[in-house]
Amino acid sequence: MLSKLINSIESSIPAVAAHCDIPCKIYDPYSAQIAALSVVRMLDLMNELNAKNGNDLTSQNTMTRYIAEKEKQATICKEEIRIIWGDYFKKPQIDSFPVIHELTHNLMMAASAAKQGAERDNGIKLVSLVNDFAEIFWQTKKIDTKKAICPYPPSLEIVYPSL
Amino acid sequence: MFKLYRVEGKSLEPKITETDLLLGIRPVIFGSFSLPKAKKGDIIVFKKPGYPKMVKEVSMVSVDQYVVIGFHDDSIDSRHFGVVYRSEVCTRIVWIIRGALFKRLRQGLLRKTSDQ
Repeated sequence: MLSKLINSIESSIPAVAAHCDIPCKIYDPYSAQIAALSVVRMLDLMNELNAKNGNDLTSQNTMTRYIAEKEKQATICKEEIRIIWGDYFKKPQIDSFPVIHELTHNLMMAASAAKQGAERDNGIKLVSLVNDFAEIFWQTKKIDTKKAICPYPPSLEIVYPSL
Repeated sequence: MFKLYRVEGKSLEPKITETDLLLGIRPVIFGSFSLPKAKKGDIIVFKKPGYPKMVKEVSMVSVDQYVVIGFHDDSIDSRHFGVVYRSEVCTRIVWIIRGALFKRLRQGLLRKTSDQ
């Protein structure tokens, strides 16, 4: 009874919003980089299997799995970049790096091209654009970056923060 | 005239938390409401079209316009909706009531209940 009274008094007080979109503040382009690398890895595996000329059911099954994974990873890459671009980049970051809009759009198109085709170059372009994005992201936080070859296939150069 | 608010959201933490209550003031001159005036560092409650009634800190003041901020990168503030015009300001906060009043009242009740 009294508890109900307290609840009703509390809810009768108007609320004012002090909202953040998400209060966690956790943004990192690494997930997008991993996804872009995975796209290249799947393209490599697809090309390897294709070179074997295998047309049996097992090969078809494996190829289908590679393609499905490539599709999935390209989508993850797009989603991760869109969230950072849409939620993290605000006026101060955009003013400092106005190229971010064009870069993000190019990245979306590169990811779609990687989905549509089987050419390795599409994947390489995606990794390169995601690296450009990561470099800008860390610069907005005034954190230096370094480039290093990732220690696993497809052994491509990746931008890492120097923490 | 005084108005009491409760806070939803964390963008002003640690200065203002969701358990705080806020007391706002709006001056009344000759029987009609006047618009509150705020300076840098004041907490104001305002209403922008398309947004709920919001509370933020004033970070800059120009003629009848306020730039308001939350304390986190992803706060929804002037970086989203631009300046707040003086005509959009509802009240200026004069007292932050700490101590999770309602939470303590409920806990007090629970204790009493279990004692019996």
